[in-house]
Amino acid sequence: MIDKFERNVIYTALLVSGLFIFSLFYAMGAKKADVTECLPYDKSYETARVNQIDAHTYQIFYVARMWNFEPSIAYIPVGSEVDLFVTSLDVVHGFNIFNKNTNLMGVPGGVSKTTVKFEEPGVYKVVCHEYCGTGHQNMQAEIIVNYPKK
Amino acid sequence: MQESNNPEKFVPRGAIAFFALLVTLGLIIWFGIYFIMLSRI
Repeated sequence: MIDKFERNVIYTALLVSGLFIFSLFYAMGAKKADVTECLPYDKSYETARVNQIDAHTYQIFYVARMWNFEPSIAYIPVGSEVDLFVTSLDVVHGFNIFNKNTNLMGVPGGVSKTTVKFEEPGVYKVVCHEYCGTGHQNMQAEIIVNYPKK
Repeated sequence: MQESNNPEKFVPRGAIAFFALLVTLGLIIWFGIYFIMLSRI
């Protein structure tokens, strides 16, 4: 016979775990939170570039190295959906867009991918948030969303 | 004092309060980060 206090703790743990799992699926489903993917690697990801797929869909291929991101500035129209691909040429780097729900790692020999929608115009700072050496604090890039117009 | 002398009626009030506090704190921290994440999508 299980102790009643032990039983209550088990029920509470199951309830809280269920709440967490439901919240994760709610964020992914109803709120469409993007889940980061790891793609198979090939050499083409070592070339930094911005591709326009259509009027409001872009791809940015970021290459991280000590201590900068390429492209260092990318211009995107307001309301665009952007697929971000990040890889590294040397050590592990972080890829974080300030005030966006984006948290990737740039891994040598690996590709991280996520999709971000830019609804508001502005300058979005990208920073490395994985310590990568003495110039780590200066490692940043910008995504400029309709400002200045280009 | 009488209660602690009788193992049949012992209720671990301190442990229950501590457990509830830990669960509440965990929920506050977890959902605090969760709602920040949702606001940034």
